[in-house]
Amino acid sequence: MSKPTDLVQGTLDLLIMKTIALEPAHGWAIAQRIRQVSKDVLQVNQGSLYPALHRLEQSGWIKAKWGESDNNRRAKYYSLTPAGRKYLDQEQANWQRLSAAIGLVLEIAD
Amino acid sequence: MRIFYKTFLRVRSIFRKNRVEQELADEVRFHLERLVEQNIGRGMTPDLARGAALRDLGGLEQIKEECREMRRVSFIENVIRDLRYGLRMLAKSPGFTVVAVATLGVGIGANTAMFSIIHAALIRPLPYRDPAQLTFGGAPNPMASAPDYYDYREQADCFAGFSAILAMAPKTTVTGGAEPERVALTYVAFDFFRTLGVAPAAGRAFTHEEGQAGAPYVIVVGERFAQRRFGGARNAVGATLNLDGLPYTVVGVMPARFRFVNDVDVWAPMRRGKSWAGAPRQYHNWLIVARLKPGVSINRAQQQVDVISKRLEQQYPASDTGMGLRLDPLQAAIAGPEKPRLVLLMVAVALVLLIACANLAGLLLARGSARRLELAVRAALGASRAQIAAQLLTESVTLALLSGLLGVALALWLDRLLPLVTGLTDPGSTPKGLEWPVLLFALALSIVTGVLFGAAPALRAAALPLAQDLAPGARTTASRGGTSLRGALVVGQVTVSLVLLAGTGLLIRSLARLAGTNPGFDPHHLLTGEIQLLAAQYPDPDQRIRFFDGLREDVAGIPGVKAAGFINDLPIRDPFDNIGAWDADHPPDSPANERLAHRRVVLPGYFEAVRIPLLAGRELGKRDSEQAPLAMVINQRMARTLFPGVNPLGKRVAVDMGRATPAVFEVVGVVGDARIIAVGLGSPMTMYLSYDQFPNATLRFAIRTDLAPQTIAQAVRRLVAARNRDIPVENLVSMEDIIGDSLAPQQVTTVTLALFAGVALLLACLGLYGVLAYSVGQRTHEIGVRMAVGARRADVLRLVVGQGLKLALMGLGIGVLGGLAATRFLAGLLYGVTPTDPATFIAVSAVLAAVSLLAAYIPARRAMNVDPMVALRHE
Repeated sequence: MSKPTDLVQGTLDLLIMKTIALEPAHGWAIAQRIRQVSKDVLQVNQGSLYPALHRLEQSGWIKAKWGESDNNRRAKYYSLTPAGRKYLDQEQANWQRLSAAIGLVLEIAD
Repeated sequence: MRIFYKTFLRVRSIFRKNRVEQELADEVRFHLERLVEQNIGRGMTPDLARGAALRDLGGLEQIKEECREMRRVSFIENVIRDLRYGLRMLAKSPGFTVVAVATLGVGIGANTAMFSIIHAALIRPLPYRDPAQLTFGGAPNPMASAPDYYDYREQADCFAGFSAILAMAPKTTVTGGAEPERVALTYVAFDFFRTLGVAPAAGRAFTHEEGQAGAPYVIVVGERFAQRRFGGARNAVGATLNLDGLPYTVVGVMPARFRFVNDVDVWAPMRRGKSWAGAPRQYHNWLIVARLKPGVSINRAQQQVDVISKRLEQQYPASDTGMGLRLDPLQAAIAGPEKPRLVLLMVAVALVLLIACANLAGLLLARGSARRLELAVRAALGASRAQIAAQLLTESVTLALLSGLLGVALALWLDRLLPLVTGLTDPGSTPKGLEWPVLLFALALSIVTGVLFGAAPALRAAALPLAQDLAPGARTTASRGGTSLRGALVVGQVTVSLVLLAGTGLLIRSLARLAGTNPGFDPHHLLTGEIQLLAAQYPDPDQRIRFFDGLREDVAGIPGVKAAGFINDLPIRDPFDNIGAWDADHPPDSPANERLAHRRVVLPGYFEAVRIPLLAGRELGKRDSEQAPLAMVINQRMARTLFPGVNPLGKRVAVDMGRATPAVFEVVGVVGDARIIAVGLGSPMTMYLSYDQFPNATLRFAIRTDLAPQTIAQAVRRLVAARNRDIPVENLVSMEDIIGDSLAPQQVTTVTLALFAGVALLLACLGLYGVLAYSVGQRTHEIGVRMAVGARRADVLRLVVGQGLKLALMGLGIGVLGGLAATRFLAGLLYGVTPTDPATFIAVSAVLAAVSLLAAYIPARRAMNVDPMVALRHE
């Protein structure tokens, strides 16, 4: 993932929001978790991570709070807002519908 | 909910900028440190770890910048940054800034002041309750007679209030205090204040009972009068005042700023059938003020009123034929007469601002050329064309806003001078300071102006390739385009200046014509004044005749007095009192064909005093006493109208004096015509009656003296006081001043327009000079070349002046065409001059051409003195 295209940007947003839906996390932790859960397939471009986080914050889907990290340093923790949670469910459903449809088309092409 | 969070973030980004920036830096640094730790954990040395981390992360600054963009406040930040940069640039070139701000500030200030006047007079809602529902008598039939008024009132049902006010404000003598005082008084229907929706400052308005005959004498006074006489509004309520010797009780006080049509200190109620309210049906001197019922349109009300008018016409053909009542919305009716003048001045001042903007655009275009290097560097560092244009535009708007501030200060100062500008203040109440719509106008005007004059330079700077300007010694050939644009601007300026000058010239000629008109009498060295005898003190006509006869002799005896004339209504100052008159032997077949003649009552010696020539017959004298037959002297106009081709002497004239049968007079003399209504209006039919036969209580005088008129004023006062201490002598003013005052609105308009035209001319010349000076500067090299190959200095002079003349003549040509088309709108304000008067146009064209030549000459001289050797070496 180099310069985010529209589809990719939307996907990144989705991944970020899903990650923090379970538990608030700072930017570093979010990137690590996405890598772990996807078994090293998805490596978030660090140059696009923070702009994405700030954009989501400006749109009001996620909110931020400064807290202490595990090594006693200050870090900015992000979590979902209620509106964000609804948006996430919506986008997740859309994504599943989309990927199912793509799968159907790919099977026919054979 | 989302919107609150979003707004909070944006606000925080603007106001807690440092904090937000710090957080962003911390956040990114935190990530960097973790990355470094991870690298170290993988076995790298700290330095390598850090290097690898930085590479992985990408540019730290770029990440931060992208995050900032996400915050979407960068637009505002950019504007603020451009603003501060603009202010710095302006501070760096103080000369330019001062000139620009001064020029524009004067333009914006004048426009704001003008708009303030217009807003108060035409736009601002009148200070009455629900003013849209108020109607007022309008042309051609604005007034009704008292009996008609009562009939309309009873028969119409679409009005929530139907009220009236006398069209005049006669003076009354107030006694009982320290000194007798003459105050203006007018009569109103009892529900007048309620209909308008104005509450008294103290006390109450009139009741229904007080509008009936036989009611106790009550009045309402104005707050200023109450302050003067009783020391306050509260004290005035319940007090007694002696008006013309009769006691009146004050029941209410109107607020100081209340004024309606007549500028009076006392309002008395119409008492049905009494005094003015009891005048016969043919005296139409009441203005109708009516409030529509909610939901009723003015057209419906007009229809109903028309039906009633028709009915009255049939019932009372002698007085009401051809009279109807027209209802106009109050605001339009009151403001209407001033509208042409105000609109003219507003248009003129807006044109002046346009010219100023053109000047500024020219200045900025020149400056733009000088700043090409700076702009090219900005472009090279990554500024887009749009950003550069935006920055230049912001500078212009900043300049304009600064000028706007100066303009508002100027307008505030002008506003203080406004009360001196007679005839151009609003009729409702006096404006104090600038109201917020006016300030808003100033702000909007500043921004529009800034965009207007900044657009051209900004677009040009953004449109042209900037890269080549970085090359050293870059020749600004592109500035040629700038010159042609500036040339076009100058042509426009000259055009507009010519139109303004033409208008001014026409108005000046009109004024001169007016001032030079022969009014039919000799207005110089005439002292005028007014004397009212108290009815209570002089109930008997003989007493009044004796008083004025005696006074006339006394006055004639004052050293320096040549003659003393006494008349009921002075020319120009009192253009009232016209009634129906006709040839007694050939009465008109219908009342509609009756003619109106102005009725004047004189003592012997009046014509000699004011120098109206006696053309035939004799003057009125002592033989025309009470017992003698009714006699009149008519003016030439009346003689020619009523008795064409015959000798009018001995003929009989019937006059409708308001009684059952007309009075019949014998014509004993004919005098010259006099312009008694206004200097600009011709002489109406005028008939002069003998005072002995119609001894009014009030007489005015015109005393001819070979000294300055005011010097005998004291003597006159003393003479009157010697006869009766209680009688004040009012309005001692010279006839020349009266005429001068009557011309004041015209004068003010002319002077103001001349001022605007002068400023416009100056600015246009500055513009022309600027363009030529710049052009000469640019073409120095070329001039050097020309001279080197043999051109003489005279040729160079001709070259530059020719360039300037070309621009000026183009502007002149378009201006003359435009002026000829535009001046027709002035027609209403002109007197004795047509809107396309050739002499005026030729004169102003010559003036403009001459001034343009002068403006072109100075740069031309400089061009002439160019040393070819120096010029050839010049880049």
